[in-house]
Amino acid sequence: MKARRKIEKTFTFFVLLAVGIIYLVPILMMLLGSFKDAGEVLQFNLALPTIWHPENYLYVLETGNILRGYANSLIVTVSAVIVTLLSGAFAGIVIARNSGRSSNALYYYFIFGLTATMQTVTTFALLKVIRLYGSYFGVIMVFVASNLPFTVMSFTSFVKGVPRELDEAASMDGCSPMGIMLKIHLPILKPIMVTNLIIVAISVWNNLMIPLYFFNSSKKMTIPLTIYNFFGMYSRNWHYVFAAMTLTVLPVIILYLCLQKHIVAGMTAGAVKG
Amino acid sequence: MKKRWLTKACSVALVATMLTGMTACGTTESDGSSPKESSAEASKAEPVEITAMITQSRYYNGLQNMIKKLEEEENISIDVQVVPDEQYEELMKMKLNSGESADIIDYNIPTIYDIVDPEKFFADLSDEAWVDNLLNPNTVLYKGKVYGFPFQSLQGLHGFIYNKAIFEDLGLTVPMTWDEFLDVCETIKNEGDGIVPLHFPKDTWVPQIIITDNMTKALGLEGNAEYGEKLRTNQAKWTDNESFAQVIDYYIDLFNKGYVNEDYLSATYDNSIEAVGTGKAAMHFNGDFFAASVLEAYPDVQLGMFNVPMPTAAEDIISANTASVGFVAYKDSEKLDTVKKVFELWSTPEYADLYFADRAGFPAFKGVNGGDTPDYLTEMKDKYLDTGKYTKAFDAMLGVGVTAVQNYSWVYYLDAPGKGMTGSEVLEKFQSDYESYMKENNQPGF
Amino acid sequence: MKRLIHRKKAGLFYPIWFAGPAIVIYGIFYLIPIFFAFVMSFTDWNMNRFMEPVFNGFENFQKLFNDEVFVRSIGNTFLFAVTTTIGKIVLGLALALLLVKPVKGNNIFRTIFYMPCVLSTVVVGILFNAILGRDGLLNEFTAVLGIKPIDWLGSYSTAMLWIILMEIWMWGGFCMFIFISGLQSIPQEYYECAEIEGASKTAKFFKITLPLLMPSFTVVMTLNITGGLKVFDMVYILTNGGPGFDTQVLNTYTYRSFSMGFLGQSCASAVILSVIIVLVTFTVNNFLKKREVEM
Repeated sequence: MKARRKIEKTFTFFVLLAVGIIYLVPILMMLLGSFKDAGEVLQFNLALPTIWHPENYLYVLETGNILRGYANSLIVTVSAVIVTLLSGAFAGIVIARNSGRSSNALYYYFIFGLTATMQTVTTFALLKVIRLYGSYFGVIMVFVASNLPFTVMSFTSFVKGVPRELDEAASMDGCSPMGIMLKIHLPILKPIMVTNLIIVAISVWNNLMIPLYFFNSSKKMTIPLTIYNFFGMYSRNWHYVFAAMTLTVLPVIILYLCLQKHIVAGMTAGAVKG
Repeated sequence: MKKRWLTKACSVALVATMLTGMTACGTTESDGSSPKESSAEASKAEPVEITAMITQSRYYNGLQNMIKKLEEEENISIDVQVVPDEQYEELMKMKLNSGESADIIDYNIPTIYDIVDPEKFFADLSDEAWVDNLLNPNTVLYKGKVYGFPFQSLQGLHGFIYNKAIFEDLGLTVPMTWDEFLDVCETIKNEGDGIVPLHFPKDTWVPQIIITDNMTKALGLEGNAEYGEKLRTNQAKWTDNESFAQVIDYYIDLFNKGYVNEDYLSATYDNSIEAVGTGKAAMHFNGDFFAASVLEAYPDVQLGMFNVPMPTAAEDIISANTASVGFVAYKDSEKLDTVKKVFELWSTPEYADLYFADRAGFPAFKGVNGGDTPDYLTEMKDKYLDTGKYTKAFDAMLGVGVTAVQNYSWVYYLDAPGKGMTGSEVLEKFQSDYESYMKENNQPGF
Repeated sequence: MKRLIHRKKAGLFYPIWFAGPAIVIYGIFYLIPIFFAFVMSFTDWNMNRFMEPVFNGFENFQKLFNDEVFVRSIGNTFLFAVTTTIGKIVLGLALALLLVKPVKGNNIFRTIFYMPCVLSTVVVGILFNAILGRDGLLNEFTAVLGIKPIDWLGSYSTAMLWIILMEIWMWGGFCMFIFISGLQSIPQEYYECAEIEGASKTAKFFKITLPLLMPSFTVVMTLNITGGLKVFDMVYILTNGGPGFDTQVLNTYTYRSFSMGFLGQSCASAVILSVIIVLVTFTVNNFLKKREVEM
């Protein structure tokens, strides 16, 4: 029995290892490619570089405006995440705790957003009319708005799973609704906060179209667009493209590794209940 | 406890990276500007900034150096928004239509006149001093006025680019007729030990060149512009000219005979460069810039260029891209005076030479050094350019119709060999797309 | 007194303005443009006539349904949504079942499987184009097995296959996490009871695990089907609808109309997609909700 279990375990391990290796192939190719020279990288394989060229990264950092891209991506991502999480959490609590027609209507008001896609041209026209075109504020708001449906949905279902007695007890003690939210709910909501933080942060960080269409100055351009600096119509410097890609991906992977522990908890407690 | 410490360390590290990112960014910026501030501050004009929108694939080193020079010597800085090629046109139109345009916009001159109404959106530059210095002023005119600033008098010419070593190894000479060309392909296919005679990628803008080029040749120097004009106003249909369908059939035949790489539906343009550069393929049909790109990646390769028309050709000519890379100025820009000054400066050899410093070409202005004609181009230049036996392709006359050509027929050309379509089938299909596109855009005659 | 009881029944009252910021931001920056696009779908709005759209009734819709490329793109959209949803569920569930138990390197594996979905699609597209090319990594590998090089993106069936596989690769790990959390919330007592009664492994899986995992299925299905119907990036970066127009899906069609300047038609195509999504999600959700079991 014990031996069988051990065999089973080793078997599981090797299955996972095999799938894991397949999973990593593209990422390894990118990493290795970023250290090769212009000719060698064109073979697109998993061979180690004959000579390592870490200076590719230096070149990319110096010429590609990567640092400015990082700064802009940070400004946009951090603000969008904070506004989305806070406004989404409050809306979620209200919808989950108030029963009745109005809260139901509000729920569908947000859910509708999941079925529609963002409309570039009309959004452009809107930003233009309300004079937010080209501003950080406008772009951040567009990001927040397009992420709110999912965030509100997941917060609503999470809060529904939190026992009502907690609220009632606090209310008896003379806590105002605002007080209950801030003191009781927000701490409990931490796991779902983290889940949403990761999802929103990743989608904002990686988005190409919104900054491209709604910013009008290179000074505000975010990081995904910088990859294109190493694309020419007539030739591509793949070793630089790979290095730029690695630099683009790095921060989100770090963020993910830091918060990974909480993701499962967040999904267990909340999103899962739909 | 230990794990919590780890998370904390992680987030501290993350914040630290972010902060260094920002401060480093700040310092580089101030580093860049400090030497300028100290030098010759008194003599310099007030700093001015204008905005520009540039296609990412055309943000050449030469242009970047011109912009740098402006900043150092004139205190004019240009805030460049670099836009990926695929998104460029939509974004440009959207910005112009909503009055949000950059001060100067990169595009081919005069192609842009067909896409956007120049009288409505662009500043009239006819009275600028540099206009008198243009080698070929006709190319930048719209209804007798100048709305664009060009860098070149000619962007490039079309033909077969070939790898000389392969031809030598197999004892081949440059073909003079289409039949000889087919023989060359046959020899390479049979004796070339796996060498592909002709390489095409899946990028739709490439395989269409040989078709458009030969349709132009079939129309001839005289008939060319006229027929394009007729197509634009619906006085002629794509299916009317028999030679058009024949050109496509000759092209499809190359695939059927096995002269084209089998993976033309998945190979990329980079693969074409690599194939010709490394000798996996012998030939490629494109603009001469293709040779320049191959040499950039494989400096030791010997390349040549030749012209062989299909039997449909009316005369021995080549097609050239006569549109120039250039800029237009936004009409309602608040800094129009600065923009005009920039153009004036850029037209002088002092600046314009920089443009051609590492990319030889044909300058738009008198007195500008375009660099030495590369080896592969000399023959074509002697034979066709200097004798005037070249013309722009007929589709340059189509106006907004070009969008339909690019979005439908180019796709069909690539699709036809694999799906067993004939030339006339392709053109019939395209004609209906073309008509509905032109109707949708309220073009006269449709 | 009566009022107090009533209030207690209805739950605590939170003023609706707490939801104000979300309502306003989402309303202005998301709903208004969508509503505006809906209106414009009944006009001949064009990039070259930006300021003067003219109402033209259902003409855009009529044109769309007469276009064979559009009709095919609806088919492709459904094919993609259904196959990727199944693929992601099977892969995600399998990985979750393997990783919910303590295995060596558990955390590392979870990270590896989750990693693809933090990459931007620009990056993923570039990588896969390099892998699937004629001289790409995959053909180098198949050559070792003695298979002739295949033109993966050159024909409809293989191109579509790889678009689907790429999507599964990218989001399978995300589904895995939802399933892991679902599995962890199943009380261990159920399994212990079953053990005592001598139930087989398969019986345990079908009688306990699957039914109690139903809520996770609902989430995964809903998210993946809506996501699948909305697919854009994967197709755009890998084939851009080609070869020919073979792999065109609804959202790439919408984008193509937009980039050709047919703004009204592009809006109409987006409206059709939205209607399809509403209908499909509603049906799927209703179907699955009925099958959820209370713990």
